[in-house]
Formats: sequence, C-alpha cells, structure tokens
Amino acid sequence: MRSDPWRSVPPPRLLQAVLRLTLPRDCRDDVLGDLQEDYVLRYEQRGRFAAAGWYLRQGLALGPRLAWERSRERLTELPSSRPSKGDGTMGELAVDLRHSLRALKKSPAFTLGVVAILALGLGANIMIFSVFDTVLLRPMGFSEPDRLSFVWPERAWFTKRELAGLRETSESLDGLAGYYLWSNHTLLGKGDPEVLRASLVSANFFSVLGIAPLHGRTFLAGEDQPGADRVVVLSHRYWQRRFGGDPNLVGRTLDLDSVTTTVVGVMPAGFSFRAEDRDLWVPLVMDPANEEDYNASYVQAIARLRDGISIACT
Amino acid sequence: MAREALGEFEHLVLLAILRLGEEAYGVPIAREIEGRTDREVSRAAVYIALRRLEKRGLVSSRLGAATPERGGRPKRFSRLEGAGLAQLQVSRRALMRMWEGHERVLEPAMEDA
Repeated sequence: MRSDPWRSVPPPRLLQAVLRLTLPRDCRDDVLGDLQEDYVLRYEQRGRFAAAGWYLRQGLALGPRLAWERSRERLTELPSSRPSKGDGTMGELAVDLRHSLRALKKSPAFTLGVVAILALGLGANIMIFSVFDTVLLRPMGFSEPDRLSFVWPERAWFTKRELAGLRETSESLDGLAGYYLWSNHTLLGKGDPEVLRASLVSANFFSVLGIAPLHGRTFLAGEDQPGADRVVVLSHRYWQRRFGGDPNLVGRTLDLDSVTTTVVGVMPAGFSFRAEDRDLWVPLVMDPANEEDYNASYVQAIARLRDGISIACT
Repeated sequence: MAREALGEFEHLVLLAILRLGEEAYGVPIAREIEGRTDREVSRAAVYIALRRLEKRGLVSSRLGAATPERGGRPKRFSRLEGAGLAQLQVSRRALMRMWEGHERVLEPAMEDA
C-alpha cells in the first residue's frame, strides 16, 4: 500500500516540534520516528485530517504519560535496591506513595481541587511571610537585636533627670539611650525654608542600636551636652532628595533653626527606628540647668542589655 | 527479585514481540495488538509497557538504523529475553489452570465473535 517512501508527507512541523519538547530525551527519537511512520501510513489510508487528528491525540497523551512514568520509575527505584519489596520502612513508604498517587490519578477532579487548595494555601503563606519579613524583621538592621529592649516607666515617658539617674544606677545595661521621636526643625539657606522631621536622640543612640553610618560618623559622647557644637546625622532618603547623594556633604554646615549645624554623617538606606520616616537625627541635649526641660516627661528610652543578661534579670 | 505478575497489556506486548521476532518495534507491536484484539491501542501505553518490561529485564532493546520515511530517526527494536519467555510461560500456565473446566462457558462467546 505504501508508495514511494521519498514522497511521503511528514506530520505537521509544529506538532512535531511541540511533541519533541514534551518527550523524555532517552526515547525521543525512536518514538517520534514511530509516530511519523504511523502517520504516513494513516495519511495514505485515511487522508490528511484523520492522520493529523490521530497524531495530535497520540502526541498529547504521550508527553505527560511518559513524564509520569519516569517520575514513577524514580520513586520505585528506592525499594528495588532492597533485597525484597515492601520490606522495611522505605519500601512500605514507597508502596504507600505509589498507592496514593494511583488513587489521586483515578479521581482527577479531586486531585485538581487538592492541588488548587494547596497552591492557594502556600501562596497565602508566602505572601504573609514576605510582608511580615519586610515590615517586622528586615528593618531591624541592628546588631544582636535580642539584646535590645525598650524601657518604659509607669507613666510611659521619662524625664531627662530620670534617664540620667537610671544610667548611673543600672548595672545590667551596656547602654541606655533616650529619644524623642517627633521634632520639627526649620532649614534656612538656599531656596525656600523647609520644615524637617527629626528625632532627638542621645549621643549613644546609634551605638546602643549597633548601627553604623553610611558616610561620616554618628554622634560622639558629649555632643548631647549643653554648649557642644550643633551636629546632625541625615537619613539616606533626605540626603538623596535634598543633596542628590553628594558624597562630600559630610562636614558641611546647614542653617538649622538659625543655628549653624554641621552634618557629621549619613545613615544607610533603609535605616529607620520604630518605623518612623525621619529626615535627620539631632542630639537630645541633657542640660540640668534648663530645669523646665530637664524635668519634663517626654523622653523614651531603649537599652542594650549586657551580654548574658535576660530581660527577666533586669 | 520477586516475580511480579504481568499486567494484561504487558502480557499482550510480550506476545506481540514474540510473534514479530526480528521486526518488533513500536509501530508493528501496536498494530499487531490492534489487529488481533480489535481495539485501538494508545501509543503511550505501548511505550510505557515496553519501558516497564525492559526495567524488569523481560525485554531488551537496541536502536536500529535511521530510515527516510521516519524522518531519519532510528527504530528501537525489542527482543524477548529468557526471563520474559519464562514469565510468559508462568502466566500462561496460571491462566490455563484458571480456565480449566470453563471451556463450555467460553465456547458460545467464540461462536459469537
């Protein structure tokens, strides 16, 4: 029935190419050859459409079923390395696994439902974790964050006098830093005046957190004492926005609240404390002579515990 | 290795290989089964059965020469191994014993066919 084999018409190229992709490498060529041979016979006996339809049907079933078979082979290779089948835990496990796979295969709708539910569950989990990770875990770029602790008096706010007293008496702390989160300052100078959002912080604030600046330095001991030259540390974002990320900015002066203020450092991108978006940090001046300020309750505190000291000990 | 019973389709494939001898590869094996059992045979089923039989050592295979009507692709010839023949004998004996005494039930069906 077969005429000149040289004149035979091969299966549509696109179908062949797709099928080629789905077949396992170890049997790709001979299976494609078989299908082509069969296709040519069918083409001559029943015409082009019947042949193409048959080729498509067989091809669609082949890829997935051979792939399934190969994964099954890999599964059953486990027990076959043992002297007898179903012997020992791994053997039983593989038998159970095969049994489950077969049961799942028998009810594709159920399987699809299970897979969909698992996929949704996993997806939701991953999404929630990545939000949790970005919002709560990542911003803690501090060194050994488990040794950091917020310190609260009963009234929620300390006075500077209480803070100073606490520093002297506490032996379980490596450092205690006071801060006031929201303090606005006015930047004068070139262009329009600008209101900057700052936090007031003790000179040891950054070393208590254990975080290093990107450029320059953070505050030195004494820079929060009365009479010290006024210095500030800028946030990365403000440094980029206002000064275009100028690497030579450190050491330059600004007119802040009509006081000449030196920029001593820039913090790394992504640094924030208590998720507050601040433009800069200004020393929290501890001046016992300024009695009203020294006895006002508005300071909060964060402490670094001494190594080996737990919160329960303090 | 523990001897596993042959599946029905594996049984058919082994018999087809036995009949085809030197010419046993995918296309004639499928056609042999289709011609004798009067049912359409999925090519996927044939290749999977061949793989399993080869894994179990009942059949061996080798690649033949590439031919033009196959788009220059080789045939994979299958050969019945001694273990395959033995397995067929075991299966046949088991089936014959199970059929014993049922010939009268079988006959009307054969007349119908």
